[in-house]
Amino acid sequence: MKHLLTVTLLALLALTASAQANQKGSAVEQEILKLEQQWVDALLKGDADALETLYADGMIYTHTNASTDGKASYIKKIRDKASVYDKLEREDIKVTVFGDTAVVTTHWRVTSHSATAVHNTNARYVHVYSKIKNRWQMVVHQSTRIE
Amino acid sequence: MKRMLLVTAFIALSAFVASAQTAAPAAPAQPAQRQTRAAIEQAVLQLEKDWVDALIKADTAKLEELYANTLVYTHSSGSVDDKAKYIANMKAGTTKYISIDREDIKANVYGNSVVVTCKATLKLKSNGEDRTNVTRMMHVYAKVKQRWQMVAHQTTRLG
Repeated sequence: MKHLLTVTLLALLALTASAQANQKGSAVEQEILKLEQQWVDALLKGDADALETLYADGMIYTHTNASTDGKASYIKKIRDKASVYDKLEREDIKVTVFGDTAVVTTHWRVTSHSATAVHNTNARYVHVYSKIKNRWQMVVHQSTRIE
Repeated sequence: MKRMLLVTAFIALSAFVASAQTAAPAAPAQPAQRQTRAAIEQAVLQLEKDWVDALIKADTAKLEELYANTLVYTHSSGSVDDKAKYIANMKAGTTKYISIDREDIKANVYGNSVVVTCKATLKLKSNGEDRTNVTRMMHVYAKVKQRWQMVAHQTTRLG
């Protein structure tokens, strides 16, 4: 009888711990969604300092035309206003968490301009976040035009 | 009373097992088999070669193993497949890969995940039509249940 009580208690304890782990999973999702919103806000405001924080040092940014930027070259474009974001809409946002990695896929419609042209893009992007030094940082952005 | 306790214990345990299973994808990587960065890179680059071979041979059994259940596969047309849909299309033979040439391959290791980027030229027959796609390709691998699996694929056409 005593044993049974112990087993039951242990099982209940394990159940609680597991429920907390699940909650932790969704807490990470919420944290990532918040970072995604911060990223959108930073692009629309041309806030290069916020991007410095959001992007990991080794970040690889592949644009819809398949040209690539590193963190420094991308942020320079924002600071120099070589790339200005006017409008950015997102839908079908999906976050999948794998331990200290999170993958986000999104359908986005974005209007941006440079000194010479306006770009209207309808595309799908993938973002990969990694927890580096206890902080979630974006390590990959890649966007693909929807035909 | 004894019976009630038994039933409670059983229910609690079943719930725990079920809950542990659903929580599995978010579980942190086990540090038990810690690999060096170089070993991880090598293991994942080998998986990349296996993936290319599997596409050329239309080896769906191999793809079942390489792809994580939650795989998100974004084609260079911007259309998206999940694992089941991708493998069903491969089985149906609507797309046949003739060659995949990769260059400028880079693997970045972040804890329990690896990001591989490269320039990839894919020659394929889609619905009987010959196509050549010159792309930038990105793969994300995560260690799911002690095994490296591809969780995301995305290609972006050059130009």
